[in-house]
Amino acid sequence: MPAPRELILAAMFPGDGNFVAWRHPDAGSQTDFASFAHFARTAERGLFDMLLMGESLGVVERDGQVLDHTVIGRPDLWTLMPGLAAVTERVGLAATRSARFNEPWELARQFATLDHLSGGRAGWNVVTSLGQKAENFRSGYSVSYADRYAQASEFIAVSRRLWTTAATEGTGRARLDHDGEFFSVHADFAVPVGPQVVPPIIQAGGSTEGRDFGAAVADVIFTDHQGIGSAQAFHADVRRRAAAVGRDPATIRVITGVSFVVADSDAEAREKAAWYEDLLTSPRVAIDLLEQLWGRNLSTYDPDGPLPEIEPDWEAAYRYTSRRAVGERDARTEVAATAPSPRSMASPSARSSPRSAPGSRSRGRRGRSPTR
Amino acid sequence: MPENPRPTLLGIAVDTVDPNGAPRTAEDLRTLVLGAAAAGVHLVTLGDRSALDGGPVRPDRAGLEPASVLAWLAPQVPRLGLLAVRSATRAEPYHLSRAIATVDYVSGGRAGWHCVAELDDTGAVVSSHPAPAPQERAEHAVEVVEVVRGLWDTWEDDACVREVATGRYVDPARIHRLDHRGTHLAIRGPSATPRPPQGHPVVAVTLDGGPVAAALGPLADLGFVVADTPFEAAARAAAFRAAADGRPLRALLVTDRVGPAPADGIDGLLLTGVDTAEGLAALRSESRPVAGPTATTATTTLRQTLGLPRPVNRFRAATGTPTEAAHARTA
Repeated sequence: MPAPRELILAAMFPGDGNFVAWRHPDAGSQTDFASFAHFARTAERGLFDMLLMGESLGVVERDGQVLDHTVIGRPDLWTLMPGLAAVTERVGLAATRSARFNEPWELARQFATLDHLSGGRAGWNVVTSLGQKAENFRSGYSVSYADRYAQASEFIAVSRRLWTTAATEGTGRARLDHDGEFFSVHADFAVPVGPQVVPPIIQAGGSTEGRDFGAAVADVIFTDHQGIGSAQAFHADVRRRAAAVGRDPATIRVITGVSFVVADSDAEAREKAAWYEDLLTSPRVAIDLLEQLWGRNLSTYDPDGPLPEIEPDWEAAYRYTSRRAVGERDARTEVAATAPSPRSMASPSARSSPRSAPGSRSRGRRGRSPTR
Repeated sequence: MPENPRPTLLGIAVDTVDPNGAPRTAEDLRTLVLGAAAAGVHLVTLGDRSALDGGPVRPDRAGLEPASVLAWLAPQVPRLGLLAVRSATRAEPYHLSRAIATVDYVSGGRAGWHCVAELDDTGAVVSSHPAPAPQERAEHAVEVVEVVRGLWDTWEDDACVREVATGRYVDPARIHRLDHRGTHLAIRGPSATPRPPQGHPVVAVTLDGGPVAAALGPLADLGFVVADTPFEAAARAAAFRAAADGRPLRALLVTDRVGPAPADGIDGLLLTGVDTAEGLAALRSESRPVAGPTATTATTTLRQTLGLPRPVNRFRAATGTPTEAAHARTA
């Protein structure tokens, strides 16, 4: 009999611009450390394997206007992670960091620090941040669309060399001299490495290049699918690509985004989901969603009225939908964090199915690391 | 300035490497920082101590990253002010501004930034961005401090309105672009992090008579005065105050011994070279200057500990929006 399989459970704290039920009476502050500590402790108590935090490189704007209807503006979730490490004991702490707006030496130092402080609980969700918010950073981060994964690959390779060299030299002191296509590092690296030495690499991205990149570098691949068929096809595809670059496909974990509502009965769950969806979809949010599809400013339209009689601006709408179609991470997280839909509602019977039974997850067997 | 004499302020510099240059572990640092807090210290500046000791600031210096360590320590140590040593020379101001702001959030308003700059070119390369020429680095650091402080102001304190009825989470009119266009930097903003609890976390600089001190002094809240004689200390503190043009600030004398404030214009001491088990044991056994930790409570911000006001937001000041009216809108 095959050993029972365990699901990896990651809890995602919705990032800037995602749909957040901040209007919920219990939502509380979206910026106080206490709110994040509550989230982390609750996930840990619920035996989640890891928290997954997004990265903000700017505030969410549309046509130069700050969006006012969704949660924007948070503490820097990366710097928050060590604080969360101090108030939890086991849950993994996976942080999203851009391979574009950071430097390998500094980022490797920061991840080694988090891994060390947290007793080996750090994880790195690597993103390429194409086209985002470059105007908030020093110039010189330009990388072409075609090169984005090559740059990220070199970034990860340099980071790995810093971590592993520091770990193998007994003093914890390493020297790296690297002149690559995108990065140069000629420096000492002397940071007490964390228990994991190299944190698990997490990646998302559905394009062909993104899949190849994930298959080559990732320990965990984060994806989102509407149905089991496409999810299984994605999984098989990733495994094929991993094998093609000489990796054991079994070492890659694939996790998918899901929202769920827990209640005592199906009817209650549906009612709760409807209420939650209503909280998420304020009139402003409804108009905003429509504007994304229409490619036009629809602020004067009635959110409860008929669809606009004017033709969509197909060019503007296309820019949004095409980005989403490419499967870039920012578009995907938006999808992953949208309101729960009936497809993802879990009734008590669904929850007690063998593959997801909470009772099968014993505290002792869940390790400290996000992946094992 | 307050009329009543304040308790003498006591700070300590804790390095992320030990006296032999080996990186300290998290446990080492926690023991030292908690020990310092127990000995009555009001604030710690964590990281590269070289600037205080007159040595070069190296981009590839050993040790854990200070802001991360402070975010980790903040929930574990109440009251203590927590300053991270970070170099302006290689800084990405947007990241740096948010990192220090976030330590402020985690600590409930106890964060600060001890800004240093690399004046010597050590040859180490840690960044794909070329560092400014050595003679430009003091001026470059000024621009970085201006941008970091400017980003803290891009959100007015009450920008996050959370109006459940209308579905408005923020008021965009109270969130501003920085649009900094300087010699070295062009940073748009706004910050992705709302204004931190202290408004501006405390900005500290080392006042050693050098070019960085001269350039950054006028932008700092807190000066760490390095001097050989009480006369020199008084002169440097006086120059610091003169450049501030009436803006409230504090000056701590860098020393390795606890004693009475030895010079005019000095508000307290920053202890250096005592961040060892022996050094802290000696500190505990020495008579402390005055009231110490009992003067502060769990809810005291670092600015309150230092007797410094919460800065007015430059954008609020510019638009002249009356604060009372703004509060009435959100009520």
